[in-house]
Amino acid sequence: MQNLNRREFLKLFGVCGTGAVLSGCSEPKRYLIPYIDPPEDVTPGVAAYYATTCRECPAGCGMIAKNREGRTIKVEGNPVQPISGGKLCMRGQASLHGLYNPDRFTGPMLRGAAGQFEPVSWEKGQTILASTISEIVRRGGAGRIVFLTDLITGSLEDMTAHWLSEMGQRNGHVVYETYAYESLRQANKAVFGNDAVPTYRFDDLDFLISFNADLLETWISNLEFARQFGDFHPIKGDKKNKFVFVGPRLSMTANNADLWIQTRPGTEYAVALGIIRAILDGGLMPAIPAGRRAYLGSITANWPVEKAAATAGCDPGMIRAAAGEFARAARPFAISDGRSMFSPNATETAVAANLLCTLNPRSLGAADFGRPHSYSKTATAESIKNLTDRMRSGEIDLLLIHRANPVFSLPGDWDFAGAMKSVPSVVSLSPAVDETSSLANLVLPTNYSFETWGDYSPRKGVSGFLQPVMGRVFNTRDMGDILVSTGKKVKGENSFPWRDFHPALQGYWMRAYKDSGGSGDFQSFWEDVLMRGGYWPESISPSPAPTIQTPAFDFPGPDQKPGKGLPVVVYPTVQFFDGRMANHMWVQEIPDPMTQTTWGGWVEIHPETAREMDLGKGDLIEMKTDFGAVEVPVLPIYTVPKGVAAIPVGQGHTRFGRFADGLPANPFKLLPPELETVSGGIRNTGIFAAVRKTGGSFDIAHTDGSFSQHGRGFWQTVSLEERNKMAASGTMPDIDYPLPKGYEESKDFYPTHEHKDYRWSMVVDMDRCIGCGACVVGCYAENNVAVVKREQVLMGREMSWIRVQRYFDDETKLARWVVMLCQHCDNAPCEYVCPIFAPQHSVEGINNQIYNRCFGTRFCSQNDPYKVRRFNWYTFSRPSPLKWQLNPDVTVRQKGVMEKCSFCIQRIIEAKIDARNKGRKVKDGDFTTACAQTCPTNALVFGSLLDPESRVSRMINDVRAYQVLVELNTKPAVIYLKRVTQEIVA
Amino acid sequence: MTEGAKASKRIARWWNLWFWVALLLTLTGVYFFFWFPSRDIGPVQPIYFSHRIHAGVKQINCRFCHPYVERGEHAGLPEVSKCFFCHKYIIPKHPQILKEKEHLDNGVPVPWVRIFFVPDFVKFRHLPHIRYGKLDCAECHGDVASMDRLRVNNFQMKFCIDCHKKKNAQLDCFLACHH
Repeated sequence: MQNLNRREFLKLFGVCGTGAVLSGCSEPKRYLIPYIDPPEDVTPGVAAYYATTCRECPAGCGMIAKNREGRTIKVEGNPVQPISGGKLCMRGQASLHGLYNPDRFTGPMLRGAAGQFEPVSWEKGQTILASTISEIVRRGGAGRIVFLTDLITGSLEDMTAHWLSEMGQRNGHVVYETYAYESLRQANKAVFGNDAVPTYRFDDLDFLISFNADLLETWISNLEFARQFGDFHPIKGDKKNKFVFVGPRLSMTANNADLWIQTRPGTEYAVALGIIRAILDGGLMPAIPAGRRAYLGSITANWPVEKAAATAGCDPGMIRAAAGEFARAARPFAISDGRSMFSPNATETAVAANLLCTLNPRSLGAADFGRPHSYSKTATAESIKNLTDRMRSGEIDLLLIHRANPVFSLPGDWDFAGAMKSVPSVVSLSPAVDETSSLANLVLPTNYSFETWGDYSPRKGVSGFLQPVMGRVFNTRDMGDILVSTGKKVKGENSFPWRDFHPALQGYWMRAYKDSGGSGDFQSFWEDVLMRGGYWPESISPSPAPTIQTPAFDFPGPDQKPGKGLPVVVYPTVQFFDGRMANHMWVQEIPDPMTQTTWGGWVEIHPETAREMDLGKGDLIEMKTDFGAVEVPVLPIYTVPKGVAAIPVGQGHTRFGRFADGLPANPFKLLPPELETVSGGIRNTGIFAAVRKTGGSFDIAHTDGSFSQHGRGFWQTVSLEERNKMAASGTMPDIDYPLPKGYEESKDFYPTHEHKDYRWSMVVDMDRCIGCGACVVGCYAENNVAVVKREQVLMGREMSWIRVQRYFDDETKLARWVVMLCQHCDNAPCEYVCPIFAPQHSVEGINNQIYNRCFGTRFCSQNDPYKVRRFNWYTFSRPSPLKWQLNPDVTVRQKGVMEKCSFCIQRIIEAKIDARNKGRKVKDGDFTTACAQTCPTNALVFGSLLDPESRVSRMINDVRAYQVLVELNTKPAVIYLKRVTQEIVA
Repeated sequence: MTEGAKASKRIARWWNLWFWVALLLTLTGVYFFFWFPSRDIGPVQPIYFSHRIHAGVKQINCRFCHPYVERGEHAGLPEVSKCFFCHKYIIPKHPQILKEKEHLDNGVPVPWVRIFFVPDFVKFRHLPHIRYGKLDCAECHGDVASMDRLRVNNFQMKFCIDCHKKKNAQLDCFLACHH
């Protein structure tokens, strides 16, 4: 080859080039791979559905997993399960990205000499673990092994306890959840005599006041509460129940309230005491027994309304208004956050809220202590602190960690990572890499919840089952299997007489079935619970109302001195929970409901305060407290009052996989290290940060164009009185019907469309929408919508087919949402400008986008007033195995193609085939789109306008109906119902 | 005749010869590529399975091996073990059957070469065509019963549209195929 001259080189080059071109001409061969033996449930091309339970957070919603050709492609709520009721929140919808996370452990790993993880076999990994345990057992000692898990219950908890007791350990199982609700539990103990998180029921209340509890976002069981909120709050007939939120930040939940009482961080208790005092002083509730009145009078003696308002920094009129509503309501109730890490005086606030509840004993049934939530089992921050100290002093020889990530979520000052170094062996059983697992000596990765056998009981009386809904993605095992096999290795067959975990699980349930009085055939019971997704005996009736205690309680005086620096509110968000969701690509891509920000954290500062401090959007600032510092970009926005900053938790990971690492910032590290003596929670004494501009910047990838809708009427509201007046007078809404009857010769240039059989349409009730964004993730999952990541979002190239747009009211600065998706106009501006008819009107009224015809002129997008069309600037790819999630019924779009909402055309086709097989037309409610399916409050309703009895046909004649940009005469088939506002007055 | 003229004539003859040789080669290439008869018999499969014998001579119903054709999107492929419903008893020692047996015993599926397919942006479903359209398999797949190896049919859009027009089936882009 050394003698190759120029001439020969050119010859060779020519030959190779021609060969390459020719070989490229023929398509690569496609293959069909048959089964060896067919699995029972698989019909190629037909989905199989399995019931399981969502384990993304401790709420434990029931799920139905859709399996196509052996791969789970979509999850939906399980309609018969009492928690989910057929719905899922954003996190539940995104759980598949945890299953297919490319950064999961691919198999057992052992830390090598160089400090790197090296793959080992399961046999070797388990032998190492077993010999470590044998050594510890031989040496003796009852507290040498600690099993740190997330909240697990039922058979797995039982197995863990059995395993630990066989190893001679006591109290070795520590359930770590970032949110242990210590303050709430303590307050419930003080006022109701129950140290527990109860089961709440809000749907039959008529007044609810929340003291900083974000019940629609992360609080205890947010999806269930969102569903109940959908029954509680929207207009029913001519009435609308009232919801008041008290807190320092305009959270998504606060924004759904009729009244937001803005307080200084940590002074919510003053508002609660003020309300009690206002009710007592005004004699608003004469039915209160005298003893109770005297007790409450003495508790609130120091808290006249004016003083309470001055402490909280709010208008006393608001406290009086809330008191008036509470007193007038037949079934009022008050809840409080009860997570002391997020707000100072959390226990005080929770006690005050409980005391407020006791004013009306009739509605105390809303908190059912007979059915405590499993959160009641979680370890308090105090016991985690004790564990950290024990680890550091060398009292622990083996730490096993399963799905808990304390290194990320504990206060930086505790230095859990440092304490882990004092433990000779740390074994991680977590499925994916995280900050804690990455410090382990040995990793024995467990199955993701979709691959595992098990059960989870979110509260007494409800047990959800988990079954493998598909084969394993990586070389992982059930945690139960690992316990059984290591147990056998250490203690022999007699102590662990099961083949693996599955017979132990069955044995546990056989006992439970017998104990609960079941006498039938266990096998049929077992098959039934697997099919239904769990066991929730109907017979459990609500327990009697708790006995009310009269605790002596000192509330901090009104004259607290604020600390130095900018007060910071740390809060959890609906997407990230406590940060465990940050490695899910969808969760990163979906905009935050309030700030519309994606891919990275931020600090919210009121625009005026930002101007005073000379901070601009995206400026990186260092926020430093006595206990830690974070660098975080500034986002000036109206969600915080002037002079207050707010940072969401969840971002700021360092070892959590490619999607989460390196994004700012983790505010857990700002938390004070002390503990509340009463509740055992982390004692937040108020976070005051010194702010310093670093000079750097981090662009905020937000998807909103403006805070204001500039008078264009995307969102519209109507007051309750006006709505009732209009309804009484029989006013019809001003709607351009997307039907032949909407045609008017004076303004229509093109002839009307005739529809065959159906005219698909959607009604969006903005009075029901809570802005949570579950619909958006549902759509991403169903329709193979591409995730574009940060750089492209910054260029405005996100691909979402449906989005929850957020605007601020120009006067009140409250946020207003509008769910925007393709309007499937009868007079669609996009259709007329395409040179090749790629957007085209179908006989069923849907605006089609034909991908293979589109060649990307983007004229349609230019002419589309709603800006719902999305252009593929690249062929966006998904790293394996994330692509296993793709829906085979939907084309995966490539570079240069325009796409948009299709009204889930594949579901329409499936429903039509189903109906035809039954020999009829599609009926209203036979099916729905992915977004409407998962909406917890049923804000989205889908159906055909040609059916006069369908829900959409009836709803479009509601007095609240309006269309967006109706003046353009587009005749949209997506019709909105105005949000109903009401005043809360004394 | 000058040397120059002689030379130019020789060059002309040279080019003439090259022209005919090139033409002949091209035509041969084109013939082998497009018209050579054996090209049409379809790709070679890893196991020499004959549709002519199974569907033609033995008259086995298509749905015995492709059972899902009326139930879903795909017609379905026979699983490896299904071959041995019969071939456990019929010619079990045939070299091709032995090869198939090896696949069964080792649990390695046979990589059948796919013959009928449409592009990814066409969402074809068998169910409506068989159940509602009452089409015979042969209408799209050709006379399978007479073919040892199956001939490729490049389903272009015209193939679908002609039939949809003739049978008065739906012609909506989105509702039918492209979504």
